[in-house]
Amino acid sequence: MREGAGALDDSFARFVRARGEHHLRVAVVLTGDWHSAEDLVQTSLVKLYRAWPRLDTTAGPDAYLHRIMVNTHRSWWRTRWRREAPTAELPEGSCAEDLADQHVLAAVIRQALGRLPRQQRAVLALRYLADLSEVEVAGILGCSVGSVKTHAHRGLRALRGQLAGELTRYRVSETPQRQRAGE
Amino acid sequence: MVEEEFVRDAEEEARRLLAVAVGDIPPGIDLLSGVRRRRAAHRVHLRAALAVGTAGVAAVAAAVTLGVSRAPSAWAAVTTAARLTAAQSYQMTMTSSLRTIPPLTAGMGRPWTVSGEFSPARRTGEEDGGQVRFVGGYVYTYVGGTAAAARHHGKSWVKTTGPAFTSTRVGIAAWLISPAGLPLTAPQDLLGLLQSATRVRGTGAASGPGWTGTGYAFSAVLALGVSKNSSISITGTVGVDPQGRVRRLDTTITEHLPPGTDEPPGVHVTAITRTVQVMFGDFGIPVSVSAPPASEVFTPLTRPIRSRP
Repeated sequence: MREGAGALDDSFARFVRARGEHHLRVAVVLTGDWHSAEDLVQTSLVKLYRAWPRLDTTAGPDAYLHRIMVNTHRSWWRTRWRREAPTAELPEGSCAEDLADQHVLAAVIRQALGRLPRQQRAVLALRYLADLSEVEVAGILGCSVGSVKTHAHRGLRALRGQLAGELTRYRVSETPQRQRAGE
Repeated sequence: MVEEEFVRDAEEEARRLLAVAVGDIPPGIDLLSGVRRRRAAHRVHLRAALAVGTAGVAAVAAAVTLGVSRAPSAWAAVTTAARLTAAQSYQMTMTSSLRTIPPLTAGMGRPWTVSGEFSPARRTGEEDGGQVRFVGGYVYTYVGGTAAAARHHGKSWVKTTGPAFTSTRVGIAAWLISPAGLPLTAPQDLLGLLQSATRVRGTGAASGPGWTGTGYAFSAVLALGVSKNSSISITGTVGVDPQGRVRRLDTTITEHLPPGTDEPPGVHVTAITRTVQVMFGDFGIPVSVSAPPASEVFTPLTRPIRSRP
């Protein structure tokens, strides 16, 4: 990646291979679709790479990358750089036994997440997907712990409201993939 | 106390929803390559801005060359071969079998073979004599005349985004245990698995019908499968021809299940293993596949469209 920086490149590559998928998942909750998520993570990784030599490795680069992603996404949001066409209609009828269900359901939940305010989405992603504490989330977002609690509560309540019918239809109470094991 | 339980339940629900929402990572996402491309482009832009006239052009060319000049490791050779193969049309034959320990059914482990043709550049392909068609990122599966058709409003085809399991733990596990997983799997998705490899080593010469080349062994362990505390291990071998194309890919994907994961109830399955062998050939063949008539297609959901100004 950079001449004379073999060790740096190796450690960075190891980090991306080990943690890239995790950050991609956080990113898709922030952005709402996989294309933008990939874009966001790669843009953020380029920024991380520039800071890599002076990074405090004892703290781990995850927190730093979370912060870069949130800030980068915020700047995209502000400049209205990225736009998405509205998603199509939700499926009719139940086809819960179909292999497609997990993809349909994932898309449905992402649509619902996409309708939440940006800050609520960020809190849900960092708190419940990245499994960070409320204090850590507050530090990344630059707000109080109370705000984190409020955003989490309101975000989840809104998500529930939007998904009320869909969750019953797709039996999300259990991992859908595991239901197929006995087939 | 009641309030604490309510909060705990709500948090659990949030975790469950988000896990589902992120469980279908599409295939082919290679973050590291993307970062390298962006950094290379950044360097080129920077140097181009500084360059003037012919000397500047030469500097840009040098920068590009320096950015990519590195002797390929076994890992680089394999991932490059996977990308190269997935970028051209080919014919393939894929054989797979599924086993559990202990076996859940008497016929378990019987190999299942499909063949097909793919043109990843055109995002088209077909398997099983056209019964499964890959067009523009969607998978059309023929269900006409089966009980499944009734569940899909009597339509003969079901349109989905496919298993898309590459590098996703949940996705791999879903495909692993799904009897329907094989015919819905595009070989380029399997090639994408190679991007997850953490250990790759050369194994010497390799050959097959009509080719001789180099063999590699690879492995990867994903920390968590679809079940809590389970893990997925991926091992396999790859045969790469002198043109740098994957000619043969043998993969064993195993999910190790911890005690207490009784599925079905009363039976503790300790491991689920799918073995897959793919033979690639006839590179560059013309591939012509079209989507079924719209009137015959059941579409659960149209994929979000993204555009940028």
